[in-house]
Amino acid sequence: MHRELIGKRFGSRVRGRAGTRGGRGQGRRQAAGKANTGATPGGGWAYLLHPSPELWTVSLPHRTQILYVADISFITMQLNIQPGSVVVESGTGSGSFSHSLARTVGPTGHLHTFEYHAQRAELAAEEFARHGLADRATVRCRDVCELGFTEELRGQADAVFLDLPSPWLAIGHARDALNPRVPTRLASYSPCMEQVQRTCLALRDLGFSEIRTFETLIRPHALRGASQRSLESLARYGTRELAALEEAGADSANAEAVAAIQQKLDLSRVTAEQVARETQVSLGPQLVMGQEMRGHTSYLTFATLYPGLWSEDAAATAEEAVAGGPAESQPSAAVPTEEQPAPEPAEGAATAAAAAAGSPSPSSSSTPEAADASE
Amino acid sequence: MSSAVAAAAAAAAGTPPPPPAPPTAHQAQHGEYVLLRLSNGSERVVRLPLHPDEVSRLDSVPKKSITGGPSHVLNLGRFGSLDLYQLVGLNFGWTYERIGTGAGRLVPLATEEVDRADLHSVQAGLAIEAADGRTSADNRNLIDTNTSQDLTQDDILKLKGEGVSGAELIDAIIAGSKTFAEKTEFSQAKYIKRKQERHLRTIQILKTSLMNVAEHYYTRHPSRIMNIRPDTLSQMLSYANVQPGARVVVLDDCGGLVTAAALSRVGDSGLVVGLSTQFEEPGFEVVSTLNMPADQLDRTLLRSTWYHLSLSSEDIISEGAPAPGAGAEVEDSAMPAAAVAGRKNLAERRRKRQLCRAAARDELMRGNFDSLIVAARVCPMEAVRLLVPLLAPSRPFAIFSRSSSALAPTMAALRSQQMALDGRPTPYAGDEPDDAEDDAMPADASTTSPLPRAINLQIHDTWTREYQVLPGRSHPFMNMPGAASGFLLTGIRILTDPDSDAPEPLAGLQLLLSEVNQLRKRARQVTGSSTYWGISSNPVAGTSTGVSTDESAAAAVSTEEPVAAAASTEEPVAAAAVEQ
Repeated sequence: MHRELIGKRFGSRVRGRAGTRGGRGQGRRQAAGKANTGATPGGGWAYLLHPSPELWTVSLPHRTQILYVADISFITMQLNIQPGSVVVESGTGSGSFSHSLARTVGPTGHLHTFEYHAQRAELAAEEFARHGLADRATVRCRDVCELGFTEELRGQADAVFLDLPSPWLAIGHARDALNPRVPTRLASYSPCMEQVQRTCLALRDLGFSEIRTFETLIRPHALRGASQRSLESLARYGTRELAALEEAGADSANAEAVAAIQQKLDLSRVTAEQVARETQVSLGPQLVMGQEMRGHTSYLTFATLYPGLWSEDAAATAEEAVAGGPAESQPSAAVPTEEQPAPEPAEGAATAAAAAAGSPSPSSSSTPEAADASE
Repeated sequence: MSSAVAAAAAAAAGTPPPPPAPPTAHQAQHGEYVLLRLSNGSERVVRLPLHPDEVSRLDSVPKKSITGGPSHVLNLGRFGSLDLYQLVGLNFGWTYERIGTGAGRLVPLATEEVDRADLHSVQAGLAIEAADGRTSADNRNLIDTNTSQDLTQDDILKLKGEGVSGAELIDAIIAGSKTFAEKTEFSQAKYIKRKQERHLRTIQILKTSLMNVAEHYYTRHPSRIMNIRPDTLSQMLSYANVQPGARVVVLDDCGGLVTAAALSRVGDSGLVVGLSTQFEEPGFEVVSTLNMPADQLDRTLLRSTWYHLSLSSEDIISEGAPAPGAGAEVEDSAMPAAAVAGRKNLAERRRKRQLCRAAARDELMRGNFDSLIVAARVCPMEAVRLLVPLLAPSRPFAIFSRSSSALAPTMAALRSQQMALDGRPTPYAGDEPDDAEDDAMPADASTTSPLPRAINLQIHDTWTREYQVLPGRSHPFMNMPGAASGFLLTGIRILTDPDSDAPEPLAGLQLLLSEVNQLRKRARQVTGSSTYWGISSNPVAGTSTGVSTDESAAAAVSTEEPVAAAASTEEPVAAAAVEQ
């Protein structure tokens, strides 16, 4: 099939072979085939498309759970990623977000992505090379929680993205990788609130500010040819023909028509399907909520590191406390009680987070607290 | 961005740009747009005043409008007024307390003051406290009698009048509270936080980013940006595959928000054609807030109104030329030099804008765009017919609408057509999607031009919420600041005839525009009018829509005009007045 594609224009249509479900995206330089799985016996139609990170996300071979477009888009904007940005990511996983990041940083930026699983790292590197992204994306096989983001990257990154089981273990290293001369951003992606709570405490203790957590989900709407039952038609079903019967009955030559009408009038001879069909009113294509919607992907936590808002010493102590504690010390979610804090306007709370983290130097009290957390 | 301002200054004064300022990217610069966050919960996007040295180079401008006068004193209501000069050189992200009366001073907020309202520092939540065996007061004895505070409002005002610091005042209020000691630790921290919000005047100065600006407009001025929530904006950029070097068409009735977003992603090598449905380009105010270098904007942004597209490039340019004799008139008059210069500047700007419109038109006629985003109050079906064909085949588009039902007929038409082509039964058998369309719109070139083909069609909206994350007290925020956004129709354009190698036919827009161009020429002959559009013949372009805003904001977009410095610092202030 792939041979047939060569020389075709983008946006043109080719017939898929029987048995193939259309081409999977096979790379940036080649074609990402979008398959239409029509009922045609010889296989469906396929369209030849420019590969894009969005198409890659829906067609890539899964090696791990992956990020989808809603999270990818929101994180990219929250991290303020632009052409020329230097971005650090861990882990690489299946490379869904990595491809999008490599697209957005462009040829003048760079993505440094870290993966502790050797085979995944290798496969990701192969994909980048095949997709023409090798000059802007570097994969390293490394456990960043233990070893950090390499000396080479110290102070180089504009943004760090963490998709790790224990992101709090990597936040100190992330801070080392971030450019200390300008405001920089960090994002962490965790499915569980317990992870988020621990991450937020670590971020705060390590001098980050504007710590905020979000969840974002896409709700697809499907187009359906909607029809609805007419209440009046249903009520009158089987009576409308009376007038016609009277009219036709006057003419004895019309015996056939009369018989047909009489059959309609006789509800004992009518099927439920027939009634349903004949009392429908079409509303034309309508949008309905799609069947497939993710209930949850992950919580997205964002934070900013401002120059001068943390000092090396205090942060280093806090870091030890955060990294040293065993995982089970994490406070579990509070059982619901009647004494939940009063509802707080989002705005006020956001200011609180900002104000809380906005001290010119990190609070000296943060160290004992961090120690508490890890007891 | 000082380099942008410097370049603008050089362009205006005809001198080479000064050496670049030392890189202090973590501090607020002269001439830079910043986001101010106040302790009372309000936010402002303002432009900081230009450096006096730069101002002195701009001899064509009345200096008073930049260096003196009230334009750089921001009135923040109960917060008092703020001299924007004070903000220059402050550190981004730090919290400063405003001390003293009048414009006052800004000093970094004391660490202890921050700590004592830190909700994170209240170790663990209610349940954990109990598990720890730590005792803590609870709220069972708190009764709202409105007599729990010894201090009266007058006492507080008196203390304030004596020049007591915010922290001391809060101490006094705590001391005067009969119930404070009985509160839980968490309630105490929240109590202090509330008192700080009320009595501490703190300000945070933040570097603008696409994210914080989008959020600012969404929460403070949603109607100016069609209620596009930041998450939805971010998806438009993804679904339209906006990337460095891309050529992007944006139809933008969102104050330039979507144009700004696209510009920030195409970088120095891309191009954004930003179209507006207004008669004059409205101030793309959001574009300027991102502090993109002026020369980069000159290279990468082409703006035009939809109306101006129907003029030929020659028509547009001749329209912008000064009327014969106008120059002499200016010379002869006894106007002050500054006014003459101002008038000259205005003419120069107008001419530049006409050239930009002509360039935008030529660029559109070239077609083959990489991305299309529509975020305007237009019929989606028309947008698809006229704009999607400007994309190169296999390039994606994203169309925003506040209503999903506005998008449904368009998607139905595109999908039915596609399924027919692929020999698949249409899922809306018996339904005539074209009916709805015919009802909604007059039969016109836009409806007669063929519907382009598109696949991967999807309509979706996004559900986003923010969480309070505190030890043992995490939950979604109970209030979402404006939960509404809208819907996106996304898809990928394919070839008109996907089975043939024939070149693409001329797009509907190109046909429409050349037809209208001829008609306008004839209309001009019939009426004997010398211009196409009445308002353009007026040197100050006076229209009922408020031209001063148009002019100043348009200039602010390219950050090239010194006049804009004064005008645009005023603009957010005016917005603030509206807000309160």
